[in-house]
Amino acid sequence: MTLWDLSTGDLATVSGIAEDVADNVKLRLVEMGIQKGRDLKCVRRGPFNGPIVLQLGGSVFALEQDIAKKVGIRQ
Amino acid sequence: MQRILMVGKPNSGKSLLFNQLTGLRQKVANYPGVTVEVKCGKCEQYELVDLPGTYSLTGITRDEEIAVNEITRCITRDDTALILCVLDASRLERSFVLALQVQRLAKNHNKNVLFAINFIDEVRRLGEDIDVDALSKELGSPVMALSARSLEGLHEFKQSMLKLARQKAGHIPHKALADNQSTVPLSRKLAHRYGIQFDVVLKNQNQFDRFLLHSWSGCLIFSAVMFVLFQSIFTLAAPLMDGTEAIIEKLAISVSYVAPEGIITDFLHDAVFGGVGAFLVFVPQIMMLTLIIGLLEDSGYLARAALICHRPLSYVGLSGRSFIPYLSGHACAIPAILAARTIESPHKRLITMLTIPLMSCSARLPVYALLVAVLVPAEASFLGVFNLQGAAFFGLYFFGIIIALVVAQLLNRLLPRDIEKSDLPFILELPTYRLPHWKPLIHKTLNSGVVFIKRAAPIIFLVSVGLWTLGYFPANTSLEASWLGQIGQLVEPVFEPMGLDWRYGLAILMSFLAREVFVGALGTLLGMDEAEDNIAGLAEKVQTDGLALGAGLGLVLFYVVALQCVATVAVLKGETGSSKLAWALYIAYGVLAYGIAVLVNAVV
Ligand SMILES: Nc1nc2c(ncn2[C@@H]2O[C@H](COP(=O)(O)OP(=O)(O)OP(=O)(O)O)[C@@H](O)[C@H]2O)c(=O)[nH]1
Ligand SMILES: [Mg+2]
Repeated sequence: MTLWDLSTGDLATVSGIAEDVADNVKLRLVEMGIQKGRDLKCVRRGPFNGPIVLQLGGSVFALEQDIAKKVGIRQ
Repeated sequence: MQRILMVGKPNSGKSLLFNQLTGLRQKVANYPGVTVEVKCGKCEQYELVDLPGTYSLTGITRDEEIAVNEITRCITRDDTALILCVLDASRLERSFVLALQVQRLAKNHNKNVLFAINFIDEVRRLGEDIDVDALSKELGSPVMALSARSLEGLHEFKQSMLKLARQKAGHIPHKALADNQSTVPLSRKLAHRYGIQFDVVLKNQNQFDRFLLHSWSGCLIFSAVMFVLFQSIFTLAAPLMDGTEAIIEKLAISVSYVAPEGIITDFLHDAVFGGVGAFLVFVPQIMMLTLIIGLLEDSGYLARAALICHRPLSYVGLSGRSFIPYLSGHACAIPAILAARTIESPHKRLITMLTIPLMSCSARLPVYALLVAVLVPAEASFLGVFNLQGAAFFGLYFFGIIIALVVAQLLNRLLPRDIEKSDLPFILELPTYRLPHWKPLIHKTLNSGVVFIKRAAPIIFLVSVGLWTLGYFPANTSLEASWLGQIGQLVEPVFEPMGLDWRYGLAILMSFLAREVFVGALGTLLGMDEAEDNIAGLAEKVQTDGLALGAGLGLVLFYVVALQCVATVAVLKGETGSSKLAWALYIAYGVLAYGIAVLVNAVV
């Protein structure tokens, strides 16, 4: 499962980031809190396959489809 | 001068704090990525430096790179007295990730660090607080809580900051993470221990987002906001415009009573009141535009709007992050082109910059307002509700946006893509919704009027005087036969396909100096062409003079598309690094605008 499979209101735990993500992007994701073992909540699915809105570590942010599909999760 | 460097994550209130400490007025707004340049100011004997926000010392966007470069440059220098880390009390974890990296860097270079926990007003409003003493002990650097908005704790903060800056190397952080250790786990721990329960903070915000980011209601609200924005510039400002126009007419009448008949009165009447007066009428609209955009910027909605737009904009090779530069391009293209630095991919950033000049900036407002008033009857309404003139106004803005999207799509196909640099993904933090900060907003609104007058009035005055002189002599001839008329005959063939005579042609040529000059120049020319001294608004003058619908429509669309602004070309040159590209764009938009105008004149 990936972040992109979440629907509004779902809780999940990050299980890892795909290998093919560029290093600088991976680092940024980690610095935004997206790291193995981290709990997060899907606050909203954006309209029409738009970016997904996540809440973790006191911040809320939007992530687009391409990258959300690269983050593995378990529920 | 010794320097104090302000660093922090985006939207943590650095610029507002900078303004409070220096008395300057840098742009402050409620979305990440407002500041995109290094800005300096004076605070007592120190130079205070405000940087763009960054989430990490490994920047990914251009604005983050600028901040990181400045930090690494200044940290080694002797004249850097203090590093001031600004943190957002309601988003401590994200703030600490950068703050701890900066603290480590500072320790390695023997620099003082001060942590300023901003937004303490919002935390205290929830009945909570942050234990700064314990935090300070744990971090090994001084920590202070303050609010740059409610000003609580600001005075003490300023005193401590200055004291700390003076005792150089007195408070070198005695703790810091090891060099290769990630700051993420410790940030999380600290935020967990000292931060407030964020569920409380985010509950309200998420409630709003349920509507504003909902598939249908979200898009509906977005469209409504944009429609209201563009049409209210016209409708809300209309009474103020009428008022200004009435005052100018009164002045003109009283002057003609006092002054004797002859050349002086003619000059005052046609060049001063006809030229400069015609343009002053539009100042209320500029202020209305600033006010409404300012309200949106303060609310926190713009980041949501960027999110909603991301998908549709991706189809034409843009990003959701292009939305904010596009919107601010409706005030002025220059800051908007700089704001494109926050766009994650270089390719998308370039396309955004090249299409920003198609957004109808405030310099076009006078031209739009004049021609809409001429072409569209004032009483008519659209669907029985909206004022038709307001709707026409919205139509013009919309036309500019559509052309921009078409051009973006073309550029997306044509421009070579740098495959080496992988495209960075769209990641955007959504700020908390906030009420507008009224005082700076009102100041900004009034100031926009002043700036507009200061910038354009001198040019308009000079052009009006120049045109008037050339048109008045040889004395006692008609305008046709004057020197100006003779020049006019030369250029007329160029404007004939647009359905316009030489007076409009001259006004268009003059507006390549600045777009606002068009109304001033036309005001002078039409004023001189009248047999009797009829004191009326410029729109009425144009109507009595007669302007065909096709020609008028073509003319206004010409102004939507044409890039008549040398300052914009200069900024494009700076940001793209290619002067060829910038001038090519200038010519291309000029040709396109002319083509559209000729076509419309032929068809309508
Ligand atoms: N309530 C409250 N609001 C604040 C405070 N400080 C800043 N703000 C608001 O927070 C928003 C962001 O402020 P800015 O000063 O633009 O933030 P910045 O850190 O310069 O942002 P970037 O330039 O994007 O990095 C604005 O809407 C401010 O009015 C504060 O202490 N309390
Ligand atoms: Mg700023």
